[in-house]
Amino acid sequence: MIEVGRRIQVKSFEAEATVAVAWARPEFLAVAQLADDTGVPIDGADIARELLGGLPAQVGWRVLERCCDLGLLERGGERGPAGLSAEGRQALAIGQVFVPEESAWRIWWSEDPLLDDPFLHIEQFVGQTMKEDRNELRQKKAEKQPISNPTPEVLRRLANGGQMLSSAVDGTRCFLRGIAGRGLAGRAEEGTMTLQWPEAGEPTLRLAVPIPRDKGGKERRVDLVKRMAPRRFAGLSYAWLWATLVGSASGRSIDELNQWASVLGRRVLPIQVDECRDEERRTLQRALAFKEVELGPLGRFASVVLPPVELIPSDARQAQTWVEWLQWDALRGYGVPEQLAAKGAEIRGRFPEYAPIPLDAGALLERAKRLRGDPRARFVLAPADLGLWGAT
Amino acid sequence: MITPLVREQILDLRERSLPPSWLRRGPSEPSRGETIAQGMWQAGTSREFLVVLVAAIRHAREVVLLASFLLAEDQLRDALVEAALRGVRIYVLTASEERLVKPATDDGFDARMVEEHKALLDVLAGHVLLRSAGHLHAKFLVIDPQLGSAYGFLSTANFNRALVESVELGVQLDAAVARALAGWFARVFWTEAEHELVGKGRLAAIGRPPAEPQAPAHPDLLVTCRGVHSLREGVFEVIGRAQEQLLVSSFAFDVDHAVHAALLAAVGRGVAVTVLTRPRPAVHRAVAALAAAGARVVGHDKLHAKAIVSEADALVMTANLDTPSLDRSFEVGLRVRGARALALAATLRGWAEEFPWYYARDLPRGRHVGEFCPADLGLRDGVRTVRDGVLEATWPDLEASSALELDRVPAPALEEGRTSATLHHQIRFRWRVKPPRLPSGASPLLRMVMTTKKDKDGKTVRAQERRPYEPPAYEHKGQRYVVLHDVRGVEAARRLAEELGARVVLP
Repeated sequence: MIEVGRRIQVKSFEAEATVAVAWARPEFLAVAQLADDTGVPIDGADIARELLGGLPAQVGWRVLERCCDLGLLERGGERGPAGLSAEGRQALAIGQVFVPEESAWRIWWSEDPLLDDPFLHIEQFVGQTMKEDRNELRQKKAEKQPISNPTPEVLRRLANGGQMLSSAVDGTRCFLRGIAGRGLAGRAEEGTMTLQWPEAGEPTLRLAVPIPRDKGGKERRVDLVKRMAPRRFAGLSYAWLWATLVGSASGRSIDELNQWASVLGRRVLPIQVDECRDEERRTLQRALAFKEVELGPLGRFASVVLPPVELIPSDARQAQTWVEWLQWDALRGYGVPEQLAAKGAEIRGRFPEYAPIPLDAGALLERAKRLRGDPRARFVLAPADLGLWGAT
Repeated sequence: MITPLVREQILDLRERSLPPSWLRRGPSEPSRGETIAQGMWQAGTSREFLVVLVAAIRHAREVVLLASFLLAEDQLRDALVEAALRGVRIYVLTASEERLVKPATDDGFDARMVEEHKALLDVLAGHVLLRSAGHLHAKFLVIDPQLGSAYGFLSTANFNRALVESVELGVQLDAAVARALAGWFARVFWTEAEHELVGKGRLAAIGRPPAEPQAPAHPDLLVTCRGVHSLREGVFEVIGRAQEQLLVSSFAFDVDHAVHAALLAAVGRGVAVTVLTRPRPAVHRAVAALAAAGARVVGHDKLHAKAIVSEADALVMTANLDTPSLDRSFEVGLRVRGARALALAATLRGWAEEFPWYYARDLPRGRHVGEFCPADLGLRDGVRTVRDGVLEATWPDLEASSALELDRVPAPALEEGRTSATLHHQIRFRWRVKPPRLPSGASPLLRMVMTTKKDKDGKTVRAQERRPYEPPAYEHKGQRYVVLHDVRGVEAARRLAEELGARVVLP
């Protein structure tokens, strides 16, 4: 899985607002369900007959009026039959009724290109004492701060958009039906947004943001998980992300990497032996290091966690060099030709894309004579010089 | 006045037997070293054998195999390092650190040799592939065994100062023997060595080899190693086939080993057995038994060569005639033939004539003049000297029982002192016989005499009176003494002493 991350700003705003919060109200859901089942606008008589056990139609009309107030039903004029509204349809879908409450609310949001929905959380704002209000006003005057701020545009859009909001903290669903023109801006906080993209799966955004409690409470850091498939991911893939990252760290072109992946059916980094450290030569893997990467429509990320990438010799000659290096490196004890050959075959098997030829015992012996100062040379020289090569 | 009487007597020790000893018959000359025959050397101050070994390493083209219990020789070290630097692969078998931590003082090497050995290993680390084990006692050098020009050397000497200072033998090996010896080196390297030198001062334990080399075979090359005792059988064969003479040279003997019994049997069947060894307490029991059986035993302070020669066979080897060498260690031996065998026999006979020590038990002291070393002591601190002539010695004074009988005091049982490092054939002891003296605290002895005296009325009356003796007498702890003050009173003193049963003493 690839993981990239960056810092985001979390803002908050306190204002008078009308927020329809989802509640469990089965009696009103029954009316919405009747409207949905009927498929046409219903009137008081329909409700009285179907749901109220034959009570007078006037009672049914009173219930219909209440459902219109709750936004479950809608009609063209001020009177007459009403049909199921879009909000009513959502209420049926979640099994809850949105009950408007006019109060002071604190709303948190974050505006990042990867977040289609900037809304993070909403809580009813518990007012301060008169004394606290007075002290706060005095302090703001002394610091020449504005006593109130205009409501941010993003909140105005949310209030007018008619979309259901869902808290990333506790899952509370609500509609922001109206918000005052001014309120109090809270201090911006920093959080972390992480994009996790498994090789076989959808990308996931994970947010770690500080959502302050009400005044007097301690700050809390809440891990928020917000699954989404933003528009910006359209057309992107794990393969694109891998190639972009590996290309930026290795200097290889994305086209070249994609071509290798296309031919081999797996993602590899072609490389020359002398570009690799010993451990990379042994494992055929490299852990790429990143500082900051620009990932096109996803923006810039400050941290990258990429699984070690598979290395592959860039051509047949490099493969041959690599095999010979590994054969020499694999000398960890005294060996006879049969053992050396078996090890050579095993190493050759790590390069199925090429046809390198492992060094035979004689070639290893000649190399050992040339590299006599190398501690591994003795593992070949001693058995050859001291009677073991003819013993088996 | 009476004076002490001076006496003397000669103690004749010429017939008294010396203890079982090594008797010096000449100076302990360092081994000169020389070429005994073509391809055979006696190590020594001429350095001929050492020079040959160094030259062999310097001319090695591909591989050098070196085995030595101890390894500490500068020229060899430099030659090995130079060879390694020019690409020659060098393999070494030597004694392990553990074996060297506690050097036996009676084992022919001292702590200094051990330190030199360790220092050399540090120098060789990184240049040679060295393995070790406590029982690797063989000493040899093989040059380029895989080439047609292969050759080598068997040495009774460790590759250290012994090549110059000790009495040792060295033999050159032809290509076939050298290749066979290389095979034994390989076998022991892979299957018997316990540690490998992996850096300065670092010996690492080694694991199983990837394969086991074949055991080589050559009729002239005999070996002791794990599961192989052809060298022991070869020694038995040489001893058993001998009918006329046996010259046996070994640093060590083991009275409990079957080879010792074989030597005694050879003596018993009339073979003239000459044993050459280094005088040490460790060989005491063995040489005593061989000498008692009739073998001739000679010694040299620096002998370390190991060889057995009869009228039919000749064997040079790295093994001593003891249990470790013949049964447990890694040792090699070479049958030598023809001119080299004759030369070896001549050399050992020459040694038998020239060696400074010979062993004897119950030899009368009068038949030896000079140094000897009791066989149960080491030469380092056990050497004594026998001198001919008479040693003038003083015996403690004797005291006569009576001042009038000095000449009647018998001579003492004379014996020589036990602590002296010098023994003499005769000792003239002198001593004085002194007259006795009146002991202090003695009380005068009085006698009763009848006297007359006048009483108060003027009458003469008889009375008893106590008076001293003349000469004076005393008594002390029940013994009576008559004191002689002057020679003129001798007779009076004798009479009084007889009368009183007293001893005559001087005041």
